[in-house]
Order: sequence, then C-alpha cells, then structure tokens
Amino acid sequence: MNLSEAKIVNLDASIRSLVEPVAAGLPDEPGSLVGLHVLCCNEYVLVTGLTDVPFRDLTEEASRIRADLA
Amino acid sequence: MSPPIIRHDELVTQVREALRFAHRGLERLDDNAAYWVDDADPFVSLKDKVVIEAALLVTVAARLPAADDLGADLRTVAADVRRLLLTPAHRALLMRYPHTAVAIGIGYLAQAATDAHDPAWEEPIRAAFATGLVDGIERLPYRALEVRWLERALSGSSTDDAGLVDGVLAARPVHPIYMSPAETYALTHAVMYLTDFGTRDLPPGMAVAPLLDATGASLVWHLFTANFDLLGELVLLEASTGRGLSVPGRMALGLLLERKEEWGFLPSPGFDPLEYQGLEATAARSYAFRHTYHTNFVWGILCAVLAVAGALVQPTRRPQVASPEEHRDVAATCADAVERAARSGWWTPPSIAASDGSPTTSLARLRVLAGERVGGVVVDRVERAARGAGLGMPAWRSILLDALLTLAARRYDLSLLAWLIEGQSARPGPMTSTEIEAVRFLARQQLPSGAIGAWFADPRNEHADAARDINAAMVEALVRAERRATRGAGGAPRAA
Repeated sequence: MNLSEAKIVNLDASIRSLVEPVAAGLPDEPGSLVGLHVLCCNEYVLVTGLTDVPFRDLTEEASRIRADLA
Repeated sequence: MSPPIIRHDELVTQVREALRFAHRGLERLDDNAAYWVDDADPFVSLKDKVVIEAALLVTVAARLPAADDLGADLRTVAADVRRLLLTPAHRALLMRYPHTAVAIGIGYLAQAATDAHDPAWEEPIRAAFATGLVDGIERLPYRALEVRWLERALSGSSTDDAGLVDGVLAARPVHPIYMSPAETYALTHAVMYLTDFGTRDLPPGMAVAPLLDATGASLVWHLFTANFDLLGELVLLEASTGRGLSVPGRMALGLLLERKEEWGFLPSPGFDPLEYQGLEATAARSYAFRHTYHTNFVWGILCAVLAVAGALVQPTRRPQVASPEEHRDVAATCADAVERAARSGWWTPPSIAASDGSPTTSLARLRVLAGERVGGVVVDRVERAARGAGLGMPAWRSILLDALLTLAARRYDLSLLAWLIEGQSARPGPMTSTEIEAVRFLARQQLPSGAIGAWFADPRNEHADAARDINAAMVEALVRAERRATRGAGGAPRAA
C-alpha cells in the first residue's frame, strides 16, 4: 500500500474512532432505505421498488432462465 | 463520429425478440401471476402492469417501417393485450373509476397502433377523459405527463404540456449522488412522454443541457451498478431527445447488447439467483418472467426508438464539462469553507503554500479501487464497453473517476472522496459536472463549527484526538479543489 492509499485507510480508522455514536443515524446510501424516502416524501406506497441492489452475475443460471422464459 | 453500435436490421431483430418474449409471457400470464403478491395499487395489479407495458412496447414498435416486417408479431401481442386488459372486468372498472382510463387507454393504444380500432372501447375511454375525472386523483408529476401524452395519442390533438413541465424532476437540478432508482425513473419517464418516445421536441424553454448532464452522470454511475433496467431507460432518454447519445450512453448500449447476446435476456435488478435456485417448475418460470419482463420490454422499446429516431447515426455528444461560472462558483465555495475551518482552528494554512505536487491518481489505481468497491467482473465489462465505444485512456479514466466520486459521496465515504478530489488537483483542463458536484458535496459537510463531516454533528466528536487530523485532511482536499476549479475558470486561487 502506498502512502496515498494509506491516507484513506488511516483516515477511515480515525473516522471510525469517532463515528460510533452517530453511525446509526447515517443512511448507507440514498434510496437504500425505505425509511429515508418515507421521511422525505411521506409516501410509503411510492417507495416500493426503490431500493438499490448489488449486481448479481447470472451467468451460471442463464441457460435455465432462458429455458424458463422460452 | 462513432459508427452505429447496432445496425438497423439488428435493432429490428431485437424488437422482434422483445415482442416474442412478450407474447410468451402474456400467454402464461395467469399461471405466472398466481405466484405474485400484488403491489399497493388497488386498481392496477402487477399482472395488469405487465400487460400495459407490453402495450407500450407494441405502440412504439409499431412505428417502425412496414418494410421491417414486424406486423404479425405486433398483432399477436396486441391481441394478447386485448385478451388480458380489455375485459368486462376492466370495462366495469372504467365505468366506476374514470381515472383507470389511463391504464386501460394504453392497452387500447396498442390496438389502434395495429389498426384494430374498436369503438366499443374507444368511445368509453374518450368519454372518461371528457369527464375531467381522469385528473381527479393525486399523481406523480411525470404520471401527469403520461396522462397528457395518452390524451394526445388517443385524440390526435396537439395539447401541450404547459403547466406540467416545471413540476417534473427533469426540470430541476439532480445528480446521481442524491438519486434513488425512483428519481431516475422520474427523469426517464418524463422525457419519454414529453417527446412521445423521440417523435417530438422537448418543450421550448426546458433546460436540456442540465438534464443531459445529469443523465450522462447517471449513466456513468449505473454502468458500475450494472442496473440494466435503469441503463436501458437512461439510454432511451438520450435517444428520445434528438441530440444523439453521449459517450456513457454508447457504452451502456454496448453493455446491454453484450449481456443480451450472452444471456439471451436482460435481468431486472431484483433477480436473485439464490432465490431462483430454490424454486421449481412453474414457480421458477413465474419468478424468471417477473424479474425479466420490465428490462426486456424497455430494451425492446429502446431498440424501436433507436431504429425510428436515428440517434445512432448522430455524432456522439461530446463530454459535457462545467462552465467557467460553475468553476468560479465552486472555487468560491471551497475558499469559504477553508477560511471557515481556519478561523475555527481546524486547520492552519502552511507558511509556504504547497504546490500542486500531489501526483494525479493513476488510471490503474482508479481501476483497482473501482474493482474493490463494485467488483472486478463489473469493471471488466464496463472497460470492454469503453473499448467498444472507442474510448481512449483519458476518457476512460474520467469515467472511472466520476463513478468513484459518485460512489464515495453516496456511501458517505469521505476518506475516499477527499483522497479522490485531492488526486485531481494537478490535472489540467475543466472539471466534469460530477467532479464539481462531488466537491460541493464535501464542502456542504461543513458544520457551523467549521468541522467537516456529519460525525461532528455530535459535538463530543469534536474533542476526540483524531478530530483535528480528520478535518485537516478534508480541508486539504478543499484547498486543492479550489485550485483546480480556479485553474479551470482561468483565475488565481484564493485559499492558501
């Protein structure tokens, strides 16, 4: 790890030493919390289908999926 | 000018495949829907939603020239739509609740698009619109545009969207740092309806440049989330504006085509392979269709719009960079934040101003960082799309940087954000809009106490041993950002 990368790591460590009392209140990412959107737009029904999801590689399942869609 | 990524005949093939996919799905819709727990709308079920979106695919695909020979496939899907959406039960719904004329009207539009006009349906739908009660429910702003679009399509009128445009998200400042998928859909759908899927100009007076800027930034972000649904919609937005595709738009198109060709379908983001693996027979088929239908319908609509609107033969839109005014504005923001931090004792200006000696973060390092954060497979595929779009190293580096800046801000990873910003300080040339927004984001994390970071909202953290080092790092990033922004605007830095 070079000095510039160490800067991120060291800063992360410093921030983590502070962050415990506040972390619970910080949303991970916009749109990733239903609660955040209910708070913002007061429309629970609108938040269905809002969440960001991680990428999932479907290469292994692709042929079975194609067969199911055929 | 970049050559078209997909030839016209290939686009037609993709549209045909989308129509046949729709037909297979609609044939088994009753069986599939038996496994679906419906969403919140009491008037339009998920099953109806699938049919309405298939109707939209037919309506747009029907605009392709007759020579493309899609007639039989179009009529087949239109007949499926009729069988499923223009039923006595839906007629009853229309009679009781005029606002359902929108959903049912889209289903009817597919009939009209395939020359299967039917006064028995056309007249009550028009009558529902005539009551004025179609507007009698609370709708999202872009859904109001949908109503206006449908009204024009059904009546042939030239009703404009005056009074509605100002209320939509597409007319306001947005950036993927702050956007959820819902906001992205709001942008894309507004433009689809305003332009009638690329056949009308955007309204005069609408600020198109900022919209395209935000779209480009969103495309860059979603190249790395691999959300094929949103990628398709965002490219569709660009294709509908009549201004050609951007560099990330071409990359996204290449990525979508590659996935479609390799897998034979495009999954929606919610497709969970683990959940799917646990299902058998009809349940598995139902799951597969539910989690692929929307993305594949969008893909079909996109290919149809590309084929009709000609976006692929237009020159690739040059990357948008921030204006001198934006550079000056963000430079001033940085200088103010630095001054505030210094006044509050969080940072001491050096006696000799540091040079911009920080090495510019290398492409290789950015690539490794991106791989660590979003997965090497994703980065490999995006890089392949970049090569396919003819990107040189500087442009690819810029894409990676913008994506990482967006990621860092979204995840509140201020260590990474500050480090990325600092690593650009020696770069020549103007900043991208994402760089500008990322710097503004960092500056906006400053509290009245001068400390930078939401953790200092708890004042106890201001007294911690690490507090001064953290703030110094944030301020250093803003000092360097101010220099970069000032250079970009052609002036002399104010901060030390």
